[in-house]
Amino acid sequence: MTDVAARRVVLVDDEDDIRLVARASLERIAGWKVYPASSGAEGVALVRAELPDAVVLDVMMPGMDGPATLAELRADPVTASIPVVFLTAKVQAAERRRLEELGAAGVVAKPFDPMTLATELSTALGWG
Amino acid sequence: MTAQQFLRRVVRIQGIILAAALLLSTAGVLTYRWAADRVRETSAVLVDLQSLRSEVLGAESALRGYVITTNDAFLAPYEAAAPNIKALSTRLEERLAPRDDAAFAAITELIRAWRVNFATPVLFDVASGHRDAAVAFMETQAGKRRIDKVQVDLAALSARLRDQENDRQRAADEVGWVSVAGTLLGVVLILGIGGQLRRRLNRRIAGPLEELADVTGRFGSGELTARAGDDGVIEVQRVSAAFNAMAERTQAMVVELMAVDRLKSEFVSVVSHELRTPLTSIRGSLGLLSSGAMGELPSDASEMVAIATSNTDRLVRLINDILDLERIEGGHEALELRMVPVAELLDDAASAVRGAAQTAGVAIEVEAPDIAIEVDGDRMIQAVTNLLGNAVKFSEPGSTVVVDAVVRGHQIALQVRDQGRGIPPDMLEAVFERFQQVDASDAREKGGTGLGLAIVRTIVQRHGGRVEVTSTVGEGSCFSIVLPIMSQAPTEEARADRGGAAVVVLVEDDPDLRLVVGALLGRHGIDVATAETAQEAIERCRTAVPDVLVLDVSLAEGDGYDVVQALRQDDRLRSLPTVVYTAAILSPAQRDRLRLGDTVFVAKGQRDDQALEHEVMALLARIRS
Repeated sequence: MTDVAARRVVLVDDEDDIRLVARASLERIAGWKVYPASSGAEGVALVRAELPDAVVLDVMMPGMDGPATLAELRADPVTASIPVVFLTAKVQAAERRRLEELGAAGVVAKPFDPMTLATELSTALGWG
Repeated sequence: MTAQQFLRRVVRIQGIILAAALLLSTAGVLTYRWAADRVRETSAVLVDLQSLRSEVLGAESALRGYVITTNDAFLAPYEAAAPNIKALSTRLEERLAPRDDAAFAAITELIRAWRVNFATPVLFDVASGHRDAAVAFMETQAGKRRIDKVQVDLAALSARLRDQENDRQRAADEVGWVSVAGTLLGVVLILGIGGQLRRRLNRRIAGPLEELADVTGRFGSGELTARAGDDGVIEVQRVSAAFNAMAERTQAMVVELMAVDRLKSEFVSVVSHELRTPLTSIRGSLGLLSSGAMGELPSDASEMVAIATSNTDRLVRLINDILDLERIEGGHEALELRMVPVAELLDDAASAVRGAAQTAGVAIEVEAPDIAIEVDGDRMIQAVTNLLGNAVKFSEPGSTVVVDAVVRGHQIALQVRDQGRGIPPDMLEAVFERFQQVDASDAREKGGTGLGLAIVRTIVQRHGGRVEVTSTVGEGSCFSIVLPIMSQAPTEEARADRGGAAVVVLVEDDPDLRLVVGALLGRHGIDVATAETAQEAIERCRTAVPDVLVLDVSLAEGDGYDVVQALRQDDRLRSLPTVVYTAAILSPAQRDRLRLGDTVFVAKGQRDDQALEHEVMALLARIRS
C-alpha cells in the first residue's frame, strides 16, 4: 500500500466529548490531521482558513446546524468544492436521504466505532 | 308516538273493523235464514188456502149436483169435503194466528154460515122428501153467492199474504246486500290499513334502520365522520342518537390516540437520538482504550474495558432495534415498494453478515430463483439479515447456513436454514415476541437484543406476509418469510389490443359522482367502465383489464379493501395503477391495504374531482411513457 499523505479534515461538533473521541480515533488510528470546531460558524471559518481535504459535520447543533453550515460552505466558491460527510445520531433512512440530497458526500452514524471511523469516512468520500 | 304505541293503535282499529265486519256477516246470515223460514211457512199457508178453496168449491158443486139429480153419488164428495174443510180451517187458523189477521176468521165464518144456513137445510129438505123446496132454495143463488164470496176472499187473502212475503223477502235481500257490502268494506279497510301500516313502517322504521346500518358500516370502515340522520320512529331515533354520541366519542378517542401515537413516535425518536449522543462518546473512548491506541493496558484493566465496550455495543443495538420496531409497528411510515430481484435481496443480506459468519466459522450458501418481487428493499433486506444473523449466531463452527427462495403458487418463501441447536416446540411462537430468548443466557453470550425476530415479523406483516418457523432441537431450524407475489403490470400487447384508448374502471356507489367523474374522464377520450359494489368492481376489472383503477373505499356492498384483496390474487391486476378516492382519513397501514401497483390517494371534497382527474391523467401518462 502506498503511503498517502496524511488526510486533513475539519471536524465540527458541539459536543466536547465527541470531538475529543473522534479526533483521537482519526489521529491515532488513522493518522489523519484533525482541526476541531465547536460550532457551525467556527467550522466555516476554520475551513476557509485551513482548506482541508474534507469536512466532518455534525447535524444537530445549536445556532447554525449541520445543513446550514453545509449551505454556507457551498455558497462560498473557496470552500464549495470541499466534500462534506455528515455525522449524525438520526439514522432513519428518510433522514439519510434528505441529508444526501443536500449535497453531502455521505452520512456516518453515531455512535461510531472508533476503530472504523476513518474507514467509513473514507468510503463515503471515495478515498482509497 | 313510539312504534309500539302506533302498532297497538293500528291493531285496535283493525280489530274493531274486523268485529264490525263479523257482526254484519252474522246479521246477514241470520236474516237470510229467518227469511227462508218465513218463506217456507208462507208457502205452506198459501197451499192450504188453495186446497181450502177447491174443497169448498167441490163441496158446493157436489151439493148442487145432489139436489138436482138426487143421485147419492154426489153426496159422497160432499161428505168427504166436510172434514177436510174443517181440518184445513183449523190448521190455517193456527198458522195465521200470529199475524193477527181478522180476514181469515171472516172467511171461516162465511163457510160456517153457508153450511149452517144453506147446505144443511137443503140436505134436510131433500132427505125429508121436499126436493122442490131445496131446488127452489138453490135457485135463489143464496148459497152460490156466499161461496163465491168465500172464493174471492180466499184469493184476496192469498194475494195479500204473497205480497207481504215479497216485501219481507226484499227487505231481507237488502239486509243481505248491506251485510255483504259491509263485510267487503271491512276487508278492504283492513287491507288498506295494513298497506298503510307497511308503508309507514318502511318509511319510519325499515328505511331509517337501513340508513343507520349503512352509516354504521361506513363508520366501521374508517369513515369516522359518518353520522346518522334523525328520521324514523322514536325507537330508531334513540338508536341513531346513541350511535352518534358513540361515534363522536370514538372519533375523538381515535383522533387523540393517533395524536398520542404520533407523540410517542416522536418521543421515541427524540429519546433515541438523545441516548445516542452520550453513547457516542462512551463507545468512542472505550474503543480507543481497548485498541491500545491510548497506550498499553494491563490485562485485567483491558478485560474491564472489553466488558464495557461490548455492553455499550449491545446498548446501541438495543436502541436501534427499539426505534426500528417503533417506526415499523407504528405504521406511520409507508413502505417504499419497488421490484427487487430476490437474488439481490438475499445477496445483500448475506453480505451484511459475512463478517460475523467468518468470525464464527460458519459458511453461508445463497440460492435464489431468477424472479423479482415487489417489496420495500431496505426493510426486507433488514428482515433477512436478522434471520441470517440469528442463524449464524446459533450455529456451530464448521456448519452451514443456507438461504434460498421457493416459489409456491402465488407465494414466495424466503428461507433461512441452520444446523444449530434448534428451538423447543413450546417456544416456536414465543421467539417472535419482544425480548424472548430461548435461553436466558443468550442475551449476554450471543449479544442479541431480543427484538430481532419481532422486527422481522413486523416488517413481513406490513408486507402482507407471514413468518413461519420449523425446528428440531439439536438439529437445526428453518425460518421462512412467506410473501404474496406481485408480478408485472399488464403487458403492452394487452393494451395495444384495445386500440390505444385508455380504459379506466371507476368504482363508486354514488350515482351522481359516477356521472360526474365518468364525464370528466370521458372528455379525455377515456373509456370508463363503472361498478357500484365490490363484486361488480372485481368482475369489471377482470374482464376489462383497465389501465387505471379509480376506487372509492366505502361501497354499496363490500368495500375497497375487498376489491384490492381480490385483485391481488390476479396476475394481471396485481400491479394495477390505482387512484384511491375516498372521504375517509386513512392511516398508512390502511393505505398499504389498498395498494396494487402505482397507487395515489385523493381525498374527496367539494371541488376535488379536478384533483382526481389530474391524478388519473398523470398515472396514464406514466404508464404510456
